[in-house]
Amino acid sequence: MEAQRWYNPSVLRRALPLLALLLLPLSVHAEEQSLFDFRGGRIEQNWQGTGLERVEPTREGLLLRSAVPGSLATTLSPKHGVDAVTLTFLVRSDTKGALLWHAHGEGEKTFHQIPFTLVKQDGPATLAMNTAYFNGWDRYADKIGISFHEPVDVTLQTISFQGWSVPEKAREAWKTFWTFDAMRSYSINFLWGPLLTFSPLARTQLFDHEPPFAISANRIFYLLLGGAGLVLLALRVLKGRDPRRIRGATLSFLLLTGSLWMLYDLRMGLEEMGYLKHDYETYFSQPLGKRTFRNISFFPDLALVISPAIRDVSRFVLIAPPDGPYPAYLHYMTYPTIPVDPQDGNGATTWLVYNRPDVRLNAERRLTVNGEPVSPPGMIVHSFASGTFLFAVGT
Amino acid sequence: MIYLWLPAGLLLPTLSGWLLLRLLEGNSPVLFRLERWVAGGVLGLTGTMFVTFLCTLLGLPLTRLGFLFPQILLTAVLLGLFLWRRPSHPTPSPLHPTPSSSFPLWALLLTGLLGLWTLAKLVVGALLLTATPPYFDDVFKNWNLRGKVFFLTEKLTLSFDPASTAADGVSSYPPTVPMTKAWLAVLAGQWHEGLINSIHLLWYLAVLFLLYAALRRSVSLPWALLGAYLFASLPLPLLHGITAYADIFLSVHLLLAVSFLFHAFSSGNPTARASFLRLGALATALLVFTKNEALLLHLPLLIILLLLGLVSLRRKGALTLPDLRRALFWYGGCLAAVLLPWLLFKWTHGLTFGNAKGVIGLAIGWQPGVLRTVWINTFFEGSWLFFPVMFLTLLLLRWRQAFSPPLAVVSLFCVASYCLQLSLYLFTSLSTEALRQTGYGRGLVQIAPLAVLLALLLLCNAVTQSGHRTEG
Repeated sequence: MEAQRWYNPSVLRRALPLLALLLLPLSVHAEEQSLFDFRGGRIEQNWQGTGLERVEPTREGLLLRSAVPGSLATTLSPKHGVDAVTLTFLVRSDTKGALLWHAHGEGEKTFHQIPFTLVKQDGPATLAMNTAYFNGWDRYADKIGISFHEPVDVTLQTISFQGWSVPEKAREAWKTFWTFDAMRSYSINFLWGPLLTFSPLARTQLFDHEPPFAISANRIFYLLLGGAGLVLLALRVLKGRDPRRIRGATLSFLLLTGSLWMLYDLRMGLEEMGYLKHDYETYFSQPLGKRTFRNISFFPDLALVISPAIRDVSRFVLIAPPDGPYPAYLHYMTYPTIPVDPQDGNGATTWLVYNRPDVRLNAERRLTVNGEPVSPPGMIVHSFASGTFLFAVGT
Repeated sequence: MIYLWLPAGLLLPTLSGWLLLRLLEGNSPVLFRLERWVAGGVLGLTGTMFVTFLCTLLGLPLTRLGFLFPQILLTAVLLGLFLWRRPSHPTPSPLHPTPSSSFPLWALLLTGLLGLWTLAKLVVGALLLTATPPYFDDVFKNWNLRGKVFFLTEKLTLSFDPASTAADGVSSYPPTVPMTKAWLAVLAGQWHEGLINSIHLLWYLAVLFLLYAALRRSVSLPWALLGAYLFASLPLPLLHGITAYADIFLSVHLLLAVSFLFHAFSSGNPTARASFLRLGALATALLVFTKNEALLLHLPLLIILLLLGLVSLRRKGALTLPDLRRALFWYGGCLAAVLLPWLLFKWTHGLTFGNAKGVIGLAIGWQPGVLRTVWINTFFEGSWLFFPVMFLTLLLLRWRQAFSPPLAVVSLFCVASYCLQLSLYLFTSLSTEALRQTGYGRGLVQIAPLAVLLALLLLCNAVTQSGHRTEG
């Protein structure tokens, strides 16, 4: 699924249903699941294809192949409310598509959609969507389908629908409250804080998206404090001449505020301790060469390891993933030797390639990016990992 | 063992800071004993680095001797002045702290638990700060990088590419934090990440203690402790306390500058007021040498509030004309001593005036989406627990007290500083800092200690008054 940038509009609109959910009498329904299985050439529903050039049941599933956009849809009569939809595909080429649904009671041609991206891979690809989070989702949608905006070559194997009961949702909300974020590059600017989701699926995907597909637990704090504040205000108005009651109510309000504050502090403090726990498990306790550091993997160790090799040169060329902090990081770690881009590397004898499996050595012993030579001839003097190596010019 | 260089490196700056503060207090000491040492450590370090900066302009290298010379000189001069103008009586206890109410057992237990919990967070934070590789952008693009460049080149180098002379954008920031790191590295003889980062935790601890001390002057022990706990429990400032960023460093100077002014205006004793004004003048001047925001955003506000406060006192007849002149002289003199050399340096080296990005050339116009992001960032994320709501509620409910002298100094500063920051995001191309949530939170970290100070004073007042009313 494509991560939505900035804020999803629905973030702000979910406080009251949440509280209502938490306050509802607990029923005993467990997770419910239903499945469309297309493997073995089975098609149990009447699926209607539009625009797709080839839709064919096969042993592996429903083959969908088309050079033009198209869609596939069916009617539903769900026996249970659906909060999440999981699709499995065999993906032979990258493609973009969308999950479609029609909410009952809406115009016949009105469909909602959640876009997704499928990436080519060996074996089945699973696409688990926390549909309940999206605006317009109908737990009892009467039509569902998938569409592809560009050429497609996939095999649809299964579609499963999952729904959770109110107690399960409440339990998941509580668990999500205590689910901690890792320390990430944005943590210095803001912290998501406690969040609420209502299914195991949503909870496991909590920090996969920015912003998370969840709602802020601050709403609960505000509701509790606001409610208590209103009670206090009402008491002041109604019992204005009874100082004991006012005093008691004020103390209760302060006690509630203090308790909630300490609970929140506990939650955030444990998150901070979680940072250290994570660093201990992945970095401190691991031997050099195996340890990784947050989202920059083994780059800090790489910077230390290559330092002796570049000590005697004024500059070296760095080829690294374009969206990382790598040039600035190395600039700091290796100063006064500084990394430069390939185009500024004229005369540089040392090249460092980090996490770029697409950078290869050609027959002339030059490094190539997308087949284009970018370096003078040389040789790989040390390989650290796939796509990560030190290259010396002219040796 | 390498961490022993930290206290060693702070020894002379703290001593000179203590001497400077004690000299400024004169015969009317107003600071608590420990407060003087802590504030002296903070202001002494910044002041020492400022003098070192001036010496580098005269050609002194940033070697061990180059760092030591200004420190020894400064300490010697201040010690000489202290011995010469030694107060007629030994440093007495300052203004008597507000008497403490008795601590019931449950409160004692709770205080102990919260203290232990806060200590645990600080220990974890210290490990994250000193034992992990650099991680956040401005650590290796600005603060630590510049320190390392100073350390290795042994001069105030503005370009980070040895083959170039063009100043890097972040060189427009005052060099205090990087110079402090270079000083520690020079002492240790090596660039040790843990050692050069450890100073940040001390700045955070200084905020906690100075906030406590500022509160203790007005409220009882439990309330002052509550204020310190309140600040320590705010997640984003804590994260800044355990990261090699400079916003907590700025915030501790801001806390001193504004709280000294607040104490000056709340003091009924003319000599104590004069002491606080002199201390405030020093803190305000050194504030300029912390981060660019201090010069462009905080300093103008502080000057306006100072003038308003002085005029108000004069009108009430609480301030004589000579006292008014002296206050202006101290502020003007201290500011000129720091501001002029720094501005001249910036101007002659073509350094920008702004937060790494120059303010000149910012596109002006309404920036859509900012309000919504700010709303969510402030109220629906975990950076501040629910402090913003608590703060605003107190400000609304107690507005009369909040915006009347002397508390008006703190409240007007907080509100005006916030509104200025917000208007920059709402009406200039700096909006990306709010939309991407990269700058907004950091701006709040800078004023957070003051906001906590204000909230605590208002809360204490509200609860105490409510108690009196019900008893009555």
